[in-house]
Amino acid sequence: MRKPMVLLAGAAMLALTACGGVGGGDDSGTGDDQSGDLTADPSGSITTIGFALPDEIATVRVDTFREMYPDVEVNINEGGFDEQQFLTSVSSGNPTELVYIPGDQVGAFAARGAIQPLDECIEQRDIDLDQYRPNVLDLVQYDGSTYAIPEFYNTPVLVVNNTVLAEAGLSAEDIDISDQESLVAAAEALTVRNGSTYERIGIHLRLPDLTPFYGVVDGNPWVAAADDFRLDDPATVATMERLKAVQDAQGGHTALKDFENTWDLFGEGNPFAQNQVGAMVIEQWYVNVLANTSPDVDITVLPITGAGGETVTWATSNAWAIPKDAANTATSCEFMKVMTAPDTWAAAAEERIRLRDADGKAFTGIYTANEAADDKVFGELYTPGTGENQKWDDAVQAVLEAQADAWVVPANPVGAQFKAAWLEAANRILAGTQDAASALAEAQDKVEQALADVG
Amino acid sequence: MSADVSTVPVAPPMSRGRRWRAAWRRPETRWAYLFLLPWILGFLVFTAGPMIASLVLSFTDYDVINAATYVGGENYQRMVEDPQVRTALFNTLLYTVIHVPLSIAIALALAVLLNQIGGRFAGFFRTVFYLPAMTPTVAVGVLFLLLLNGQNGLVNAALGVFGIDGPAWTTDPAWVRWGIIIMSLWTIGGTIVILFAALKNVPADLYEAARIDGAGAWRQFREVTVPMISGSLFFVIIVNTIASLQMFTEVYTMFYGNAQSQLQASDSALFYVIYLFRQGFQFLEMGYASALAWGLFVIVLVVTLVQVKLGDRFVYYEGDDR
Repeated sequence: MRKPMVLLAGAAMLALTACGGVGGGDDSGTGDDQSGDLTADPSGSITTIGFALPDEIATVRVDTFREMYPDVEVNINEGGFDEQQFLTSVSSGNPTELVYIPGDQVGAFAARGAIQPLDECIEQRDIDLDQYRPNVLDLVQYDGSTYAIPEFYNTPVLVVNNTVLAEAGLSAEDIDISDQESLVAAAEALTVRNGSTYERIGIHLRLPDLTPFYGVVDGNPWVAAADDFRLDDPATVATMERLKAVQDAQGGHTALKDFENTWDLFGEGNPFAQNQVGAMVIEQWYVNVLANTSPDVDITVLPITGAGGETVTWATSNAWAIPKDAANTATSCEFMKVMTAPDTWAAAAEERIRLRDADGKAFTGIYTANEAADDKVFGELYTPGTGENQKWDDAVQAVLEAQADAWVVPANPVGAQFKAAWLEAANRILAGTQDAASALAEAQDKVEQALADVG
Repeated sequence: MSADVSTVPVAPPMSRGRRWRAAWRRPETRWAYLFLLPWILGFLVFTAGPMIASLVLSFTDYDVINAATYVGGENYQRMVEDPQVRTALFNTLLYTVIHVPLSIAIALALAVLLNQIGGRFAGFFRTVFYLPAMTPTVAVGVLFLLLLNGQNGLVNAALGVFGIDGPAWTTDPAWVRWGIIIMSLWTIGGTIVILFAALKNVPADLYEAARIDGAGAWRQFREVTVPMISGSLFFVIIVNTIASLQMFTEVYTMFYGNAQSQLQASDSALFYVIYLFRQGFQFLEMGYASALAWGLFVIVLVVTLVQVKLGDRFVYYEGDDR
């Protein structure tokens, strides 16, 4: 009898090693208001999570704050946003002073009180919200309060590989994302494969990550309001069916994804340099990547248009927020203000211009959620390229044109569940394991259930 | 003589309490407990405490941030009705049913091979076979994303040598589970070492006796080796089964670890603990995640109990009558 009991006890211990709960937490509802003197001079130390320093755009801005407030110790815990790290720090009452989170999760954390409303911070430290793009503010404002300060402004554009299109007898104007017939024809014509082995994807729609964007292209955004999701709408079903048709015309989604996974997206061997793609829908930051890694690549950048020829796009952003019960909020407020101020962005842009000039490469802009900053960068610092760099200037103009009136997913309390639901549905539909109507109906049920659970 | 023996007074057996008190008077018992104390404290604080907390939380609605509210058995009812729990359970059980026998069979074959190797290379090969087990599990996940890539991965390149057009192991839902099983075989070094040690302990005279009786190699393996290492086999079956039911890190790294990897996650990669983790930390449903954890606990308990009952029939322990 003892032997089984010992084994069972061991099994129980092993099974429950992963079952431990986390700390208690109080019942503060929708987040604490900030306390203390928010007008006080920045002092002490602040620590951030979810933010990294990969380039001069990040480092110059942090250095700007450090130079303005040399007595403040700024600790950047570099790395991507980690929900577990963030939530356990808040739940245990030991949060960092600042957290950098994806914009689509602001609503969920705000609804549960994991981050603080910033209204007092914004008022007392004179953060001018009018500078920020109104549509991006929709990402970070929930239930009448602002919960985060947005940084970048990411919008998809169409990047066309002119070399590949010329080989196929096509031009950039032949790629129309909203016109299914011509899109499928171009995708088929541009794709090169030998059996199941790919040499080139014709039209890379970057599915499933940009899937909701094509709802916008088709004139049917998948979210109408914070509590109004339309995943089971017939128009959504139609969008998914046509996206699957495009993938199927190029050999099928799973094979395309496999080939995409072999790409060196950020390096000198990127898919445009290697002619591994005919055209790609991707956020505007990729133009900056190409200008830096493959300045000689022959591309055309175009805004994406809807069926009526109008420019359509959606925007995403990351944002700074202050966790519940975080200390030193006055300094954190000032940090957010400085990091997203026009002069700070301009300083970062100047450094990038200097570095690109030194390498003989084109500066293709930085695109922020602060419209005043963008005005400063493109109005005062940006110099249109000429000669060989003319193409980069054309690209910049296309990006700026694409940015107008971008649609955003409104801040909502179930951002993670919404994303998981549409992502799972899209993967099933595109892989052909479930039909669009039933997959999207299930996804809609999940989101509605999550909404009901939140209350 | 026999009458004398029968009249010798026999001391009545001591009660459990008296035995314990008697043992406690011995200094070595007290020292033993003193040395055990750090582990006991660690167990109470870091294992038993969270276990009890998770049991309590499983009856609550708890979003990690705000205070938990009692909801009775709602989370357990939801667990029974949740189709994704069934998907995750199916994937996990299928993986366990295939991985455990496959990995033990391969580990045993390699352990037998190692046992044949003598001389100066013996240590080298033992080290080589164990090295993969020392690879960090996150690194294993990333490594196998590359190895299993359908376009330029080494696995398909190897299949190509035999004229086989390999599948998309990491993106095709029909093949993702098989890719995960292939990956899981990378870390069987621990099982190899345990079985190798067991093989070393099989008395050589048993093989000699079997040979004299006319047993061939296969018969010797079946009738001598397997019974003599059945205790170790039973141990690795139990441990590997529990580990398989808790499969998390490698698959999470491959398919759920960041925004990019989540883009290719399919239902086939949804393992039970991954679903549990996502509920707790991604969807802020810690009460439900706790209920899922206890659901897994019950499953592990039942599976282990069945294995123990079956093991009693097949496992030979030295000193036993069987």
